[in-house]
Amino acid sequence: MNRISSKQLAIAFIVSRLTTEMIMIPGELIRYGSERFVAILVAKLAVLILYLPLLFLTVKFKGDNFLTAAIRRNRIYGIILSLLFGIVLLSVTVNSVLNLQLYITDTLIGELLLISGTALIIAVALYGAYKGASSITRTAVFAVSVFAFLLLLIFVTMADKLDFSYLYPVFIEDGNYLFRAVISEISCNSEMLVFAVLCKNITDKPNRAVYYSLAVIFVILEIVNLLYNLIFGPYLNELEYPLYVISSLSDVVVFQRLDGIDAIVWLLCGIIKISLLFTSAGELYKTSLGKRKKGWFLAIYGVLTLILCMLIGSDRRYYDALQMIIHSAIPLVFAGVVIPLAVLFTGKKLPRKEKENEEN
Amino acid sequence: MKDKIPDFSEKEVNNTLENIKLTNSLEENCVNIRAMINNSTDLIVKPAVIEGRKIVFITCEGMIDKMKLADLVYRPLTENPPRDCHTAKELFDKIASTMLIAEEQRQLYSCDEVLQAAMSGFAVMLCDEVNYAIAIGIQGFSHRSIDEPSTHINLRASREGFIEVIRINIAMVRRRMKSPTLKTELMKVGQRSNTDICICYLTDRADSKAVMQVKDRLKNIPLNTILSSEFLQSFLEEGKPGLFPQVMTSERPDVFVSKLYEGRIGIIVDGTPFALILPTLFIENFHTMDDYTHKPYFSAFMRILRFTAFILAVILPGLYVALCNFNPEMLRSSLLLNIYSSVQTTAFPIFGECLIMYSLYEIMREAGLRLPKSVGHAVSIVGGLVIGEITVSAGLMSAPVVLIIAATGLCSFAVPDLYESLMIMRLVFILAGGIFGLFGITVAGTLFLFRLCSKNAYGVPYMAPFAPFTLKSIIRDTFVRISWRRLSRTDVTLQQLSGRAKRKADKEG
Amino acid sequence: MKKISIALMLSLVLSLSLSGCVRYVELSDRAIVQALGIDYIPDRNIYRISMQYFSQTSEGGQNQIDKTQPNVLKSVGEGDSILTAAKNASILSGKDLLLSENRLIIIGSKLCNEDLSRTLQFFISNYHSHPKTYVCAAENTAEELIDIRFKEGYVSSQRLINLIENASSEGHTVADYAYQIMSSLCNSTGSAYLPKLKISEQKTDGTVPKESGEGQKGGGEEQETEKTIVLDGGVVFSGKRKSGIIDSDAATGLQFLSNRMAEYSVTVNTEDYNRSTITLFSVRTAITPGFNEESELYFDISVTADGRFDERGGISETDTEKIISVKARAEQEVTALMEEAVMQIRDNCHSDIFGLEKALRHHYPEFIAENKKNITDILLSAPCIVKVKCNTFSLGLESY
Repeated sequence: MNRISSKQLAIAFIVSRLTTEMIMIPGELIRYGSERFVAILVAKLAVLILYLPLLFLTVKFKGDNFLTAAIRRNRIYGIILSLLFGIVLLSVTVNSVLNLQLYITDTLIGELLLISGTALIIAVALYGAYKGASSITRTAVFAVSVFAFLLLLIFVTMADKLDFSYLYPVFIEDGNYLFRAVISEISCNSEMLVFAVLCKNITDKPNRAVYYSLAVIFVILEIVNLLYNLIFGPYLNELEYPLYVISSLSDVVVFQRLDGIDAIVWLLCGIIKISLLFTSAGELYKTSLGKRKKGWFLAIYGVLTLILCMLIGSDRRYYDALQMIIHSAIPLVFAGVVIPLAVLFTGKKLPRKEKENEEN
Repeated sequence: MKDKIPDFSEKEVNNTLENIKLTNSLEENCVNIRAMINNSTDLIVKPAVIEGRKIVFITCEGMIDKMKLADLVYRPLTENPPRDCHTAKELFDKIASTMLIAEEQRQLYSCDEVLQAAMSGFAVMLCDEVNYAIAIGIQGFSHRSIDEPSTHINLRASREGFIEVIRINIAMVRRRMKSPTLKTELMKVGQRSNTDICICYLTDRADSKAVMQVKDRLKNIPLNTILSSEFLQSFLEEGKPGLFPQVMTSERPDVFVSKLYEGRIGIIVDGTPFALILPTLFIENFHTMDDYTHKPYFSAFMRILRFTAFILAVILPGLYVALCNFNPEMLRSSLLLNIYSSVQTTAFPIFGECLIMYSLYEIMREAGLRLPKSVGHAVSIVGGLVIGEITVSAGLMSAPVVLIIAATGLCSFAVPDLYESLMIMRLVFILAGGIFGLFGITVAGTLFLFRLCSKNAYGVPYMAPFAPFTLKSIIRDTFVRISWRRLSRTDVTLQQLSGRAKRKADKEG
Repeated sequence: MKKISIALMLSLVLSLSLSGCVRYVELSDRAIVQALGIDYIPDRNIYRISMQYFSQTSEGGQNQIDKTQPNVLKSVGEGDSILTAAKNASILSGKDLLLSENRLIIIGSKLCNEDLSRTLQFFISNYHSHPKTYVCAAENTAEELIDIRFKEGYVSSQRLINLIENASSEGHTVADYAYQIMSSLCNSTGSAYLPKLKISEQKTDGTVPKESGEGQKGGGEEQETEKTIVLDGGVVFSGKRKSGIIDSDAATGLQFLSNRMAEYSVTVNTEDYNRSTITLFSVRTAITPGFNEESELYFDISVTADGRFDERGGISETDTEKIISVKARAEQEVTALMEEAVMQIRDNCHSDIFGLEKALRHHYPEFIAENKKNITDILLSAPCIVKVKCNTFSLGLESY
């Protein structure tokens, strides 16, 4: 088993969530004004509430995830739950891969073929998943460092471009947008799915990973949103990838713009996010079928993801439909809240004797 | 019955003679020993008579000090032998137990042991009617004197480097660490070469589990011959051999001792001046002994410079190709226009130029390295002037590519321990950058990061203390080194530096 | 498993690279665009793009760029959209366009009547192009400005960029990057301002840059008449379309109003004491909305600045009365400039470039929410009260 600490997982979650923010949220939902500041705050509180069944689950079934508890009750029941969970996980993975591919074609290589981009992304993410959760979380430390450095560089180089007159007192002008923004913000927390599976790999208190990551993500998102508002003002509403545009305005000694570096950072972070999703799928497979190795499963799962990416990515309508489903937050609530809630009441604890034996 | 053709293959000799015990017959013992070594001429068997008893001295040509043999062995035994001995065994026992011949003296009971001792520079004395032998340590083979190391040259640190003789190397270590907790354990590895190796560690610092693990691995090394410490390296690394060294090599006793003091395990191998140190961390490739003798701020600057050189050496050519072909907008205007001007007349695309220049550079380096020094200069002239200058002026290559490859080569020498890894990584990045641009470079970089971050050496994560992140250790002695005054407040051990990470790694399994 | 994955990866990379699935353009096959002009021809309903792209003139047989040459070539393309026009220009030049080095977009006068945001969006959404590109308006066609080439710096367009930047730092015009103009266009009035460039024929005396083409020699005179480009006021946009033109004085006033003025010299011509020049620096402009007793909206525009006598005009240091009088005249002149700008930009062109809406939103967001529908009318009709206060120093010791 690949054991990690709660802090390590928290860092990986920060990377994953920031990736979603930077490249996966539809541009129309990133707007100028105070609504988004409020939306981030409300969404974080809502997410914390949505995490509650999972947090209770980790406390009730000490050291086990929902699937282990379900399988202990009944293997068929567990397998059905893991299948349902796996479908959501797969759809989130496919959506993430496609979003990343779209980001690359929008920013780095306009002529990149769908198959080349998605195949490479999936291959590298699979390699990470094969190497294990600790490898991914350690890599996430570097990704976070690079992001922090980039943000600092942007702040320094753009200091003279910050227009504080764009700020005005909190005032909600568009309630409809606020609602959509909150729902979208909630839907972006696919880390909940990862936590549901990987909580059993955490060496210390799993809850900490949630608390730390939510707190840090909240602060970073508000800072980044402030940066957007101060630089672009109302023009923010027109932009698809605001941080990318800000990076392109930043001028450092060696490079006259940092957009390429920004794209590299989010590509790295995106791969880490997808790798985490793959690892979760692998763990799901291992737990539900009681296998020890996940190599072949990961390879098959990767091929399946690639095929789905090719099918959905080949037609914009399919892609938009998938986006709509994911951003409705329904799949996330189903897999991250409903399933754990069901297991919370129906799952079976490990008898004390067996637990003692296991520990010994 | 047909006469069997005598087969002197080592295999047969080993099977038939290796465990033969010494008998009371001197003649039989001598025959057996000669047979074991296939009558090799470098084995000298010198018969003599002491107090009426037949004895034989067995030595190996060139391995002993002849003066010592005459002064310490022949003269006392012939001029003042033990008196009043009724039997040969009594005589031999007295020689073995009461005479002070040499500081290292031991008794041997098999032909195999006799041969081993003789080949290690002992004079082995056998006596008729006695079923054991006495080995007298009078090693005196010629060896290189202690000299300044050829690698890891430092400005202010010690000028002494390890040499090929294990005993002298151990003495050099002991001279620097007069602590009773320094333990040296001699072992023999290599089924044929029987190379002496010495495991060194501080009993109160090193992780005992790691020591056991190292010993187990050394015992199970299936190699027949071990001619260099690098032969052992791959057996000591965890998992399959990768691009990055998990075992550090050092020619410097001061580095070796400092690493032992940090709780590591050192291995000195006879016949090579390069000692092995393990486990090692990735960040240590950027440290030198001078970092601890200079002022901390200067050391920090140098370490950051070395790391920057490493990054440049790895990605600069790939990045150049990627930026020129896919993302030229990132380059500064004047730089882009200059590059644009220079590539207008060249014969190859930038990707091709980079690959060709890189290959030429590596060929030149390899050629210069293997050739005699006098001819090496000619290679420099051919490389520097002819290839560098003429290709540009003839319009075959663009000047920026030549400059980049040269700068990359220079950068790679700043981190000599990682040169081999750098070479391969650079090529991967050129290919990735040439095919997929910055996307390819990121993908390749992520792959390397996944690989590096998945490594654990004897429970210590290879990328510690950065991943897993340990702030206290990072600000202590990684890119920056705090002053000795502050270092002394806490114990200066690597065990402590990576302690947290190590515990984490243990938890991670 | 590992061997299989390595083999898979290798075959993947090889097959992808060998099949040439990632198309890229060699740097030498690109046309590095330096300046770009866009015109709209309403009769034919087409766009015409003219651009200067880099083509080096080598120096001394090497690849070094000869800075005494324009180092640019021109390419032109026409099309139903900006994209097709750009593609046609690319076909003419025989190279793939690289817009990343383009630092100047000139909008033709006819195109100013169209939606400016659509024009700029094309360039900003291209990931190669640089959002830090100056945008200017042409008095007539953009192409005639592109035709003029200068022999300064690496490339010809550098001269124009220097001209704009210098004018901006001297307080003669507001020079915004494309993304700032887009940001400005996104407010409720859709306002923006572009500096206007025009061709001027000047007699050269060695200081005016020469056009690369042949100069028109004046009959028998030693001086040559050369075509050059000068700044002449600006074009104001409202509702994302051109709504009027302002003169140079209003452009200077706009600089004050939009809080961009770094330094400005005012020369006061008095009857008694000849001419005195006061240089204003550390200029800060604040627009504060307020409501009068009848609950009508008004804007209080106050400018505070430090001033320094650069030319004393014969005034003694101790003559406080005269100094204060000159200072008051300078303040009046700046007030007049700003009032002129308000009149020309807001009253005549119905544009809110200097951020009345932003100020109102900052102070009274609820007022904007309540009057969402007719906020533009309210903003354009609210009175603006301009106050200028200058703290003038003499030798850095006394202030008046």
